[in-house]
Amino acid sequence: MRNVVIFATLITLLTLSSSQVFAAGEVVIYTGTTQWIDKAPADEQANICVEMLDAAGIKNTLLTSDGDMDALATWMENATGDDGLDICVLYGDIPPTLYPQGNAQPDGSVAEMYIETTDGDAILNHADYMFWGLGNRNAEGGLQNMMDIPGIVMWDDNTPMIVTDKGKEIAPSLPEIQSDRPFHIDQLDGDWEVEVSLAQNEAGTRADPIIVRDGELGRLIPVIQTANGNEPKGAVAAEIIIWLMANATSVEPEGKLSTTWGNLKTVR
Amino acid sequence: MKHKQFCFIVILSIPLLLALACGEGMDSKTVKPTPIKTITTQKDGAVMVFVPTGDFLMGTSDADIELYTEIFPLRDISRFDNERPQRTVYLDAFYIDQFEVTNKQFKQFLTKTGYIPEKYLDYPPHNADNLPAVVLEWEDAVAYAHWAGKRLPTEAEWEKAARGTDGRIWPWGNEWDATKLSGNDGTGLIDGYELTAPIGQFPQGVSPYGVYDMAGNLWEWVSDWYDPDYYDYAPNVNPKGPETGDGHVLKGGGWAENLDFTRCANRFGGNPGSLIIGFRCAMDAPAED
Repeated sequence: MRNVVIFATLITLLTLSSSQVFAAGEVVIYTGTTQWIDKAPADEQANICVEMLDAAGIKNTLLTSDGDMDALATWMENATGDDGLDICVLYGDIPPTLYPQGNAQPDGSVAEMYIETTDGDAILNHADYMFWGLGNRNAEGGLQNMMDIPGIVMWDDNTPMIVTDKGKEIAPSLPEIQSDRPFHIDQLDGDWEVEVSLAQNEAGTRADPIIVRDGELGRLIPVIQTANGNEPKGAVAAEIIIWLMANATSVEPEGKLSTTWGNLKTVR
Repeated sequence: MKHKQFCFIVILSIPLLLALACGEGMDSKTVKPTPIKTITTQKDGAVMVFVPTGDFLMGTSDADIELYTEIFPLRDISRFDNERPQRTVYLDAFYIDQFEVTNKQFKQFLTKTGYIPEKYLDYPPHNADNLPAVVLEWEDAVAYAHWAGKRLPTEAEWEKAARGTDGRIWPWGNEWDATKLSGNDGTGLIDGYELTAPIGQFPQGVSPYGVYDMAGNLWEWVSDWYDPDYYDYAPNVNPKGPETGDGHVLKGGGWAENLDFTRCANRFGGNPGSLIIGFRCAMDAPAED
């Protein structure tokens, strides 16, 4: 009987793996333009993130100049649909090479294409309003177009965030913060859903950090969106990325199955 | 004289405004009631409130900081460094718009002058006539003020008009009250407005001089350049800001803000990011005032 259960489990895992397992991908961090965090502290936090990712063996690239906007777009285009879970880290600004300014391309931008494949690719944003854009390039329309959710906003500053149990587990460096641009859980629509809420308000309507996912497609990860705050953004981002790479991906489907099989045999 | 270009409609001692300024919500640190005088400027039809000459407390004190650690326990205390030290500042008398400049007024300026603004949100839901004009570039606000025969207030003038002389935290006093401003959360559940409110909807939150919407609704441009360390070397008589700086100072907080950002002493500079900004104008008071 036990063998039957194990066999059934393996079949289930095999079925799941065929549609949901991804290869661990790469990380790019861009500090060429920043908003609500000066460039110097953004670079400092980015380097902390890089060190932690390096230690975890996660391939990453740090782009620190606004002259890197084109390189960032190239990275993102190459990462789109490559079967790897890739993560782009921004510090409060989305360059127009990823999302044309003024909401000129509400659909089909490099950034939107990137989060609309089953790779599960993610954009992680610190500091200011996600996709707002320097000089109010996109304002509220950026987030709304990227999520295809009309009306979703990121207002409500000074919102106290209580770290969830999952948040403590995933990101030990995450302090309790007052988010100035929290994610509005109560405005999620369509296939978008909460994958993990790391910290949220008492009512459970606002969250920061949070991982939200568009069904089986890409992810958005607002992380410590505060005005001129000096919270440990880099460390928290790294911890979330490391967790995501380890838990939402598998190096190879076969490898995962053999590991699972090995674990099951040990239990026997 | 410059002020002759205006049609002065002087209204002395408005009892209602006095009652609002001295009534519920104020605490022991209350400004002595001041007779309020208003004028209406000809070009833009704006009502302006008289703020008399004299001293006021500007910035944030050590005692305030102790209080803030209770009110904002999750904020790093260094956040308030740019508001310190608190000091006594003397200002000459001036007038300041009682309300934020509206879309109706700003569009009138655009129509009459042909001026093309850099960043003015002239689309729904922001551009209704009685809503405050969202003017995201400082230069556009300055252009309007010049057209109207006025100027932007200095940061010190703005702060005195907002908090009176006693160093209170919010225009109405030292107790936070989410019903006294257009702010909070963008849901409209508390203040009745999802975004900006039409001007003047919160008489319960009026400042000691009868100025409306000094907390919330829109962040407001002032004339000063922004230097986070300015208070360390600023003059104590009619300060007008540093010679240059990292953008211009923003005051008052907006409709998406509460508590911290809407404090009268709060100052934001540099890259304003996703802040939603408007403005109001000021002018020197004639000597006989």
